[in-house]
Amino acid sequence: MILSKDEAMSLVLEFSDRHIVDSKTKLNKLLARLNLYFIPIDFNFSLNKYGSFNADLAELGTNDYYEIQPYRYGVGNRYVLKPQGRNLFETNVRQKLSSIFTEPELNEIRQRIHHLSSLKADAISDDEHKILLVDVDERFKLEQRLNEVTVELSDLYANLDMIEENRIIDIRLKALIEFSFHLAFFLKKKRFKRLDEAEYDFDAHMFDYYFLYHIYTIIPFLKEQVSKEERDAIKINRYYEYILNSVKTYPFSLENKDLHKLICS
Amino acid sequence: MAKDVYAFDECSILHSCELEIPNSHSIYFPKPRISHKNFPKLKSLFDKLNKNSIPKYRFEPNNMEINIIKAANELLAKQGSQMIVFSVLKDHFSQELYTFSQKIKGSFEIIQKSEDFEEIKKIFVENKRPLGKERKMPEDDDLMILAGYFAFKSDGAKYLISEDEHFWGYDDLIQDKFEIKVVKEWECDKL
Repeated sequence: MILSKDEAMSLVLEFSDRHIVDSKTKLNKLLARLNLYFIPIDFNFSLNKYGSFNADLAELGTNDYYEIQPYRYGVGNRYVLKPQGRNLFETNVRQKLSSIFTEPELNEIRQRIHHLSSLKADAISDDEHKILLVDVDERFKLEQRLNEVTVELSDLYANLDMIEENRIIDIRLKALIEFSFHLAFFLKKKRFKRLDEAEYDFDAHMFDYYFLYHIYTIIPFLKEQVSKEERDAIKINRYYEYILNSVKTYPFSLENKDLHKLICS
Repeated sequence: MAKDVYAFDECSILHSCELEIPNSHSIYFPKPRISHKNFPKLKSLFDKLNKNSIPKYRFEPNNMEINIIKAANELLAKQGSQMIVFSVLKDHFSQELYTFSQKIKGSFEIIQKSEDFEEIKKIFVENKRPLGKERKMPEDDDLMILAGYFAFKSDGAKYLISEDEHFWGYDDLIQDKFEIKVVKEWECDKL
């Protein structure tokens, strides 16, 4: 499950104040923020000093779903949701998200995006950097996070056979743990292997940070699910869809024919 | 052929699904798609029935997830569990099989199973056979299929296509007592 570019735009604009986003920079930040809510979108993000960045936004033009309106007395544009965009949200986006969010959870995301849309773009990206531990002076915390994640997932992975396969969701839970375990080691040993260097890592992929953050946050949930019979299918599907299917161009992906060469656990 | 009834057990229907191998696992498989060994024969029969506008039947499923997991395990059995992210591949197959089972729902008519199978069970108890399977007797769900199919009204012959030894291991008894012709899945293309 992944939201197309138009679907992602309709989601952000639907949830934003007055269904308007008043600058490209803010649109960039709000779209990037969907990653923190485990919403896979067909926008790829790279890392720069000011947060996650997507070059494709410059190429967006007015279409059936939203309008790009230039400001009369200044530079830049604002993005306004059209009725067809609202319709796209109600028909496609809501239906897609229903498999990974409950209605109250989706309402919570609506409120958060609505709030963020009223902030300045800088405030949104500052917050994002802190959550993801992107800044150079946060490296020691990032390293701690990596160590913690690999240790915890090693334990979970070692006990994978204890999960009985009586339902499809049991298999999905095992798959989520298995993939997260290998991804965590890939992040530690390949993607973040130069953490001791003091320079800003311009080669880093924004998803290195998203994935590490998400794996870190879902560990308590995985532990809880392993220890009980009842499954939270909505959350398992949410985490699975994000960690396995959110970015097809990421090297540690089912799309990569050479994935076996990246297994380093 | 037109008045005859062709009913497939749940596993046989799942065996008619062809699955895509994700890129990440392509090195373990000779082809980009994988299917059960009886897939071509089932497909050939389905094509023949569809071409002649003959309806296909199934039985109201009550353990679909178990059958899906079983079918996914069968497909993976040959490969061994030494593949990378093995559970991920099993999940991929299970999800595709589930999607397939939802998609083909409308292509099959339903025959209701019957819980009135105690007399049928007695017949099997009295005629127990040394099958290759560990459980020598058809399970309750198999008996519900036979009871439901026996009660199903038809002017023509009734065929039951299955890979399950609990059916074909008793084929003569089933034909004699319930007038149901069991067809081994791997011979279904001869129909």
